[in-house]
Amino acid sequence: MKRQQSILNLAGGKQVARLGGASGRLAHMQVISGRTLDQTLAILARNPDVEFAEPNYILSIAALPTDPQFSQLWGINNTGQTGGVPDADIDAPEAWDIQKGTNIVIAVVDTGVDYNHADLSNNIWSNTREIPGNGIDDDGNGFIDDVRGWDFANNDNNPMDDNRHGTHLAGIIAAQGNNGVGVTGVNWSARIMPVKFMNAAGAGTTATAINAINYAVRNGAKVINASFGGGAFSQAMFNAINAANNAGVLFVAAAGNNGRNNDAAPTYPATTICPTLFRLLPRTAPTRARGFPTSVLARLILPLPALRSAAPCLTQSSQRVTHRSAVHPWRPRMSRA
Amino acid sequence: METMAIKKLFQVVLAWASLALALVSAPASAEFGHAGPAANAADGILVQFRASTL
Repeated sequence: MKRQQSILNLAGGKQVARLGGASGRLAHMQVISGRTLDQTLAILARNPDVEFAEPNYILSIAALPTDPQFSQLWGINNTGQTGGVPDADIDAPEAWDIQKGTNIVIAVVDTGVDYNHADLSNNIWSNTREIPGNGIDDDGNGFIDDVRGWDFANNDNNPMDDNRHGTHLAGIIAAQGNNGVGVTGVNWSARIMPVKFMNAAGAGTTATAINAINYAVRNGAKVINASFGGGAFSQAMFNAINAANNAGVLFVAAAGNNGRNNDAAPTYPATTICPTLFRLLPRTAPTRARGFPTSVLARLILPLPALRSAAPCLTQSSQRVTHRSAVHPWRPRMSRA
Repeated sequence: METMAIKKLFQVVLAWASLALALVSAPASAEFGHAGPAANAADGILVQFRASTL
């Protein structure tokens, strides 16, 4: 460990955090020498003891549609209520005739989740191995009293949403169905694990995102929803996504809502190529006229070359006041007039 | 008098040119569709050490 500290000192840096615990090999450092970030990266890259060094990118939430018409949830069941094509939707009612949902654990790695929301509270993941409020890390996972997840932005056990983005996503995924309240998520009974790493302004970093991903994987999530992006390719992020993959966790990343082709203009982490990373590429911009600046529809891309094809995919909508929302699979023929 | 007028005109042109340049070179907002941080903004550095350094 002293050797690592000496490497950072030589590069003019100071360690501020160690990812993956004290014995982890990944460190977050700040430059204190007065050199630029690029100069410091160049120094570190020349050191044979350094596997890689990269900027700790600032990540931010994917923009949300703010059009109140989205509250009509045409994506779930399109009757033409917003002027779109009837039945241009995900056929959710038809799917619910067969299966209304399971209790699979889905981590919303985002700005937190309003776990008290009437439409969400019954579907919030609970860490049953932890005794609430006793100040002890009962399950020995390194986090004290993490009954409902963790807040890596503030490093505490209260992943309450102070932005609204994460709650919006959670509602899309698993707002409780058939309860006479608000809306219905695609999965009526999934367990949402709130893992907060972005602050009230909707910003976080690669380092906090990796911590959040690692937490979700180690605590039983089977799917990670990553509706954020920014920076450039990150080897550290790639490694974290790969580790999730190896643990059997599906990592779903938004490709942004700016209508760009991500093959031409990469967006990370969505453009990161991992076997089970689903990246969601914008396809059309049906709501531009209503104020949402970029696309809503998306096509799901399986990034392995052999699997690369259009398929049912995910998208999102929102309702400004009640945080109602939807991230759900679209049929390939989806379109709106 | 004529020199003063030319100078003034030059200053006005220069001011507009500077403004135009500033607008053109302003950093783009986040690629992710909202007014977030500039693309590739960073908070320090992530360093992965080789296992031999442990």
